[in-house]
Amino acid sequence: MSNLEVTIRETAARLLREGQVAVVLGYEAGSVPFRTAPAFIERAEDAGRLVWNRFCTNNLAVYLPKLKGAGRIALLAKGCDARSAVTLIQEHQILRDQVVILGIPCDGMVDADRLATSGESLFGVAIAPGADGSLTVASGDGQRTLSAADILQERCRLCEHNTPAIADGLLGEPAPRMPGAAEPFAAVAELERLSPAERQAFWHAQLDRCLRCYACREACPACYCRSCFADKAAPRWLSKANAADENWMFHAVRAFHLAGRCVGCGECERACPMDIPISKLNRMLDREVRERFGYVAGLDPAAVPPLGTFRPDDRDPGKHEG
Amino acid sequence: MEAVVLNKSDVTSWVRGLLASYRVVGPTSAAEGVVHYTPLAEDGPVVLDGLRPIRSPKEHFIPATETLLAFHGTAKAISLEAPPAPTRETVILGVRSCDARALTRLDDVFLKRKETDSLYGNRRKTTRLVGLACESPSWGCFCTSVGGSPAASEGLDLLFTDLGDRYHIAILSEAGRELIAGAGFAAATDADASAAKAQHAAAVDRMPPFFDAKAVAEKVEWDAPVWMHYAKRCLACGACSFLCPTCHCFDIQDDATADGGVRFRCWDTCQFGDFTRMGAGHNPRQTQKERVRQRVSHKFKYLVEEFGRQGCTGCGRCVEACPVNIDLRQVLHDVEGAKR
Repeated sequence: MSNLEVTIRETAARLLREGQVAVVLGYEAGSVPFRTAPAFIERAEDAGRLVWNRFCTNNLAVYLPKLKGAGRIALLAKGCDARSAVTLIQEHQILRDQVVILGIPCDGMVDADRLATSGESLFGVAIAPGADGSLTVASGDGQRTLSAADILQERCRLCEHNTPAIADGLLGEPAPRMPGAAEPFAAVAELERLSPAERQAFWHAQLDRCLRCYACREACPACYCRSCFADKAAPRWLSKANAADENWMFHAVRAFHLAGRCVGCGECERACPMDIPISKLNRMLDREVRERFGYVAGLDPAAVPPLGTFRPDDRDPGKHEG
Repeated sequence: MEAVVLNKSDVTSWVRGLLASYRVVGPTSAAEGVVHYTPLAEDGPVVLDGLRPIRSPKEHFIPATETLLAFHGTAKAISLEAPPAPTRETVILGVRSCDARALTRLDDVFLKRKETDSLYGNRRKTTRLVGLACESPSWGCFCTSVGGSPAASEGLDLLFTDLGDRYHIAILSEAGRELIAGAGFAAATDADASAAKAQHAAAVDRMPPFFDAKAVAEKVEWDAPVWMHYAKRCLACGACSFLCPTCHCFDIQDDATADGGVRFRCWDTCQFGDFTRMGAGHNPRQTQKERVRQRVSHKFKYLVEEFGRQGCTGCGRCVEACPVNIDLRQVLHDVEGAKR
């Protein structure tokens, strides 16, 4: 067990025992070694269920609005999760004093798909983490050791705030910056080189396989609307028919709703069963918001998000940029 | 059982031959390596190796969106138009045993009740299924827990087993026999048959059952704490249902303008909050607890009571797709042991 895991369990047990929080949102062992499951710990004696490893990928802030009325919540928060909590605080989805942000310095989460080589099965594998950040994957066919740093999720590799920017205490030493932090928009550089027509063709091909299961939306902490435009029957903004242009409309509108609010946690893309690179839409809009408004989402609970307000000196692309 | 062998180097020419008479659908690799079943072109590659595809062939029987009728004109002179019936027979290649069994479960629902579904029925009648035995399970697989096996032949017309440089092909129906008639395949030798059998046995051995499906059917309870345990973390998306080869629920809607439009049905799921919301606003399944309970109870209790078999064939796609690790194998293990 890692030191951090011990600290997490002890902190959770103490907060519950002292009655400081009603529930601790963390991770417990998943059904397989390369998954964890969101855990809702309500009793100090259950804190031993909490785990910390390279598969604690879920953004648990998604549960904050759902737990309204459950009492004070302790949220185990990686850098991205903490930023989501900030967004929710800014938007009054949770009161600042109703959430205890237990910041966890994060070295990035592993992309479980990259544990296997193409066509290889992860059925029944065992995974042993090494102190050096390695993962030894063992199956009936043999074993091999991988470096977690080599198989990180892209959003983690490009993460700019892996040590939580806001926390009510950091459970561990600040983590070294992630290797791609200096160039977070590398992920969309290739797309930006395409002409508008090529980009349209790219998205059309990607979204053609969208199932409209809404896993992206449901996994997103910022998509907390009780009634999404996509589900409205009267008026109906979007057809329920699964067609590439309707799918595009859903994803485009969702992306605009998230401009200046998305923290780049990448849960939408991870949750997508069709591996559609949805978060690229959000990342492009993140760049727009940074360039136009000098604003980065999820860092300051007191800041006013640019698309939630109007200032006379806001840049007006129609007026100033033709 | 009668069987032939086909050299792998001859697969392409056999598929070309089929294309002359049939619409041929097979697993193909789309962008990002998402393997799904699409109509094959004359020169297109067929992916007959690798793990069970992420999407099942279900969408070729109940499409994600399907026109039920078109309407033209205005109220005084309205005309209705039925959707076109299939004009060519279809052959689907590389069908996994779980997915073929899943179609027999869809038959229960769409063809064995008092009202039958003609759109589904027409597609079933005009489609032949060429199976491919799984050599190794994908990580979420559990076919052996629900009465299946990686090489089950139920619902298939032919079953391919990969023998390295060639396929052993078991002939399971007359419709299957027609697909290889005249192709000049050599009869399988005893050695081929034993090799195929050994491979099937090895694949079964890799997959010990996770739960006892019979016991589960008796133990699915309305008020069990297990539902809340999993519902707490369930995000209410439709990834499990939309990838499931037996989930079949749909919504019916109209897309219309002033002078016409279409009535279509599209996939829907009991996991969505709106699924049971009535016109006047009442929703009998108020929370995710009722919705999680419904999906499991439907597959492992209600359908068992109605048709004597589960509405699940253990393909494991829901297990792998769930963003919050609600692993159906674990849920059923808990139900069986009345845990949580």
